[in-house]
Amino acid sequence: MNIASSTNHAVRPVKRRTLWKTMYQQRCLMLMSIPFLIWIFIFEFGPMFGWLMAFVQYDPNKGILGSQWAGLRYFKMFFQDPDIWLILRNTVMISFLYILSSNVFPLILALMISEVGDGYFKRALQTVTYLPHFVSFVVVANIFLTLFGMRGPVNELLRGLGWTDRPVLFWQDKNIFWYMVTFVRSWKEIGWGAIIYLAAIASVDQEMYEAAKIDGCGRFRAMWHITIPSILPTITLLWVLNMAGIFNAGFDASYLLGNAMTREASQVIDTYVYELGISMGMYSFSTAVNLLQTAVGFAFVFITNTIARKLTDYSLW
Amino acid sequence: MRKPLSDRVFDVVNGALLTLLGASMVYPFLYVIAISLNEASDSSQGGTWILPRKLTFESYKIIFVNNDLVSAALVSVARTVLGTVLVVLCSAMFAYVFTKQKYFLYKPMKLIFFVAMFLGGGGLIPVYMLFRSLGLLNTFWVYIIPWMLNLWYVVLFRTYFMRLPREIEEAAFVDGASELTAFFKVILPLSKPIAATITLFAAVAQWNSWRDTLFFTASPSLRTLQYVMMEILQRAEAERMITRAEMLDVALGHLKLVDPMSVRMAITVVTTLPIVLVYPFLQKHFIKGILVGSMKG
Repeated sequence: MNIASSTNHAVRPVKRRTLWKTMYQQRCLMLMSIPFLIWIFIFEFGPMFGWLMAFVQYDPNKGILGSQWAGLRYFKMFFQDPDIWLILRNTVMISFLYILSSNVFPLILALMISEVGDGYFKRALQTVTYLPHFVSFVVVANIFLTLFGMRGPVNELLRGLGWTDRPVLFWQDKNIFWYMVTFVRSWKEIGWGAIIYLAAIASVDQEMYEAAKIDGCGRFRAMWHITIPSILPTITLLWVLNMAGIFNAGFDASYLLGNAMTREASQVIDTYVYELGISMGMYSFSTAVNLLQTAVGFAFVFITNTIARKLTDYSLW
Repeated sequence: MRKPLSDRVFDVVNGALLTLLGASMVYPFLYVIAISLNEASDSSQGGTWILPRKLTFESYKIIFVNNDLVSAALVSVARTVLGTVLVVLCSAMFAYVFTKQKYFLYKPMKLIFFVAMFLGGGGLIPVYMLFRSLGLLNTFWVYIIPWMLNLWYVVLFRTYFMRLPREIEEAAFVDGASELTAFFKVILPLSKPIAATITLFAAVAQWNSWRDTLFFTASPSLRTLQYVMMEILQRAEAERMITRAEMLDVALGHLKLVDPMSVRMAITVVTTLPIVLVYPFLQKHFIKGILVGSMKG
């Protein structure tokens, strides 16, 4: 007994002393990392815990764990809300149009830019097309609401050309709202989206183009048979990543560009969650909606990735 | 060698289309500037397309003496400066610890980091409730503390630090420097290019941010320039049907002389100007930045 305990003592303190010693030696690194680990626990993991709110009848005074269990009640409520199909339709349509345009237009732009020789024109073009990405959506909304406003230059032009005699109400028409939003967002991000494609195109082996030229291959055919297949991995990757956003139509566009007259077409999950959750205090319900949105996003990435892997051999994982 | 005809036609058409696209990117900004500098009553008659017809700085004078706007600008500047300095320093420091594989917390730290990167964060309401329980709602700190660290910037910093030669740092340790000293005196000065890139990115993000004001604050003294602009925009849109004279009142309180549109455009110019000014520096670095980012996987 005595011996056993003494050997125990003999081993343990040494181990502990090494840990203490390491800790002492690395105290500076601890000082430089532990505050940030705490920050991660609070601000990255804290909200993950908050998802539980969707399953309880949340009472701010009792906290999440003290509140009464509600199970899937709020999820059922969501599907019983008569507005929900409208909101889901808007969300999916707005994000689908944007995913489509944010994959196609930047690719076309990148193909066009890469056909221009290096020089002043190319640099100027890149400079002006990237700029809107850095401007806030508030500014962009402000500009486009004015440009396409009743008295804006677009309406003036249309009237000047004699195409209409009455101003076109671009922002008051719920039938074209989705396309207007897609147009504004595409304008803002087209240049930025082209950067990755441009980099991919630049890394294509130039000898292939030389060989194609000797074989009498035109530029469109070179694009179709060399450029596109070479950058297919990049195209696939961006497409899969973008699919995560299928249930995420973006708060900014709907909130800033929508109005009472287009509400039927502009309300999306994000604005719905904001209105119910923060303005009206329906915490549990809006968290449930939010959780569904996130889960569907994950599912879509998974599905597109599987399809991409089957069809093209390229995938995210 | 003369290019074949089809190639030259292609170049001309391609160039023309790209020029048109470039013009469509620049024109909206030119229009905004023109309206902001044009006399309000003249703008309302239409026809001001590119250049102001009757030049006046009236709209700018009005916004520079408006107390709400000046205080909003101060909040914007404060959050941009403080938020940017903090996020750059914190992300760099954390990234530096990630280059020390001998650190006894290295492995758990890495695990925590990756979990946070892929699953961390949450929806609006969980974040809102978290800020509420932390007492961050309706304080200036809601603009700073939740964005103090950016995991993405940590990855960019670490990638850069790993490429620095080890010997320089080792020399500092031989001289008895601690990691903290080595970080500030050796690593950070060697990392100016990446620090500059991230500073600009962070500053643009802070300056452009307006949703956090909408979601997490209620007090007028915490309004930022972007937010005030958003409010003016929303009111101007909502009150479109009211007579123009009333609209003036709605848009900016007690302004009677100037069309709210020119004031709105002047605010737009003032809000966008800082971005345009840093843009040349930003452009020099960001392409490299996002390409490093895209190769991360």
